[in-house]
Amino acid sequence: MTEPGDLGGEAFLARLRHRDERAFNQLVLAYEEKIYRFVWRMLGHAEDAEDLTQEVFVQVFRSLDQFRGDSQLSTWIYRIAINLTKNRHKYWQRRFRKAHQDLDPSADHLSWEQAPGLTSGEISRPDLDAIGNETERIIVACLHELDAPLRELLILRDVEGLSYEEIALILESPEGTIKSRLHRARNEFKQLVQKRRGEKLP
Amino acid sequence: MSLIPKDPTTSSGEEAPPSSSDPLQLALRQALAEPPRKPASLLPKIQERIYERTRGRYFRKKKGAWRDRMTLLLAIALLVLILIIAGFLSLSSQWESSAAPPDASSGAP
Repeated sequence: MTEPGDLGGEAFLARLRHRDERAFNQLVLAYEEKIYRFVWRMLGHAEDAEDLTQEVFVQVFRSLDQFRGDSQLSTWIYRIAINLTKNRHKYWQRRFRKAHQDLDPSADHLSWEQAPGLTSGEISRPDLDAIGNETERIIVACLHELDAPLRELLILRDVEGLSYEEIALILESPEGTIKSRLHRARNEFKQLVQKRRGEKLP
Repeated sequence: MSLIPKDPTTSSGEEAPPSSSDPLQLALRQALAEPPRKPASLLPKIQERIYERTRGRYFRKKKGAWRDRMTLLLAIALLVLILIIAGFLSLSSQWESSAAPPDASSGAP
């Protein structure tokens, strides 16, 4: 994960710490899409992802003094995003809400427990073919059945494509722990998908 | 039904995920490739939130800043006016007392 442009430089960080509005704007423009996509992957809900992404950058602005510069700026922003998504999940759990209710907006009136029983003819999503549609729904449903820490790892490593070192910095855990947990996450995920599809995967 | 996606890359050309031949990982990556709708830049909304949370200290809108400046100027003008009126009143009362004739009941010649 590299810092876009000159955003990692000392001069830029100094401007950020002095609450330079133009520097902060640059930072937001450089990372908003990446963070929005990540938050959406974590929450599974576009509107909430939009809201939480804004909150991430507000938090970044407020905490700029606390950024010591011992990791990349992007790693630090990811850490803030992870913490806020955790808080949002806790809030949802308290309010008995499903975190992933609109990953497929065409089926937003259905729970994910119901969704795998659908065939492509029962819902309309012209951008996906029948096979892709059902597979995606199964994949996403299984992902959200995983415990939050395991889901985080799968998203950070297998979807976001971060290195073990970066994930260790973001989650503040040793690399060895990350590797073993990721192994567990992949296995559990595979088992869940197999169970839903009723067939063994290679 | 195969789990292997048609095209595992994202349209935005973001950093490539770890290379993997695992069809499940590829399918996961494809399923989460793009959100259902992409918002326009969130920057204005972020600026607005910061403006509200910092009580207008940061990301003050130009119109708002102008209005704030005008309010300050009006307040200063009002204060100056009050001071002028107060000064005038106190001076006029001094002039009145110094111009008044000596009190007849005091017995002075």
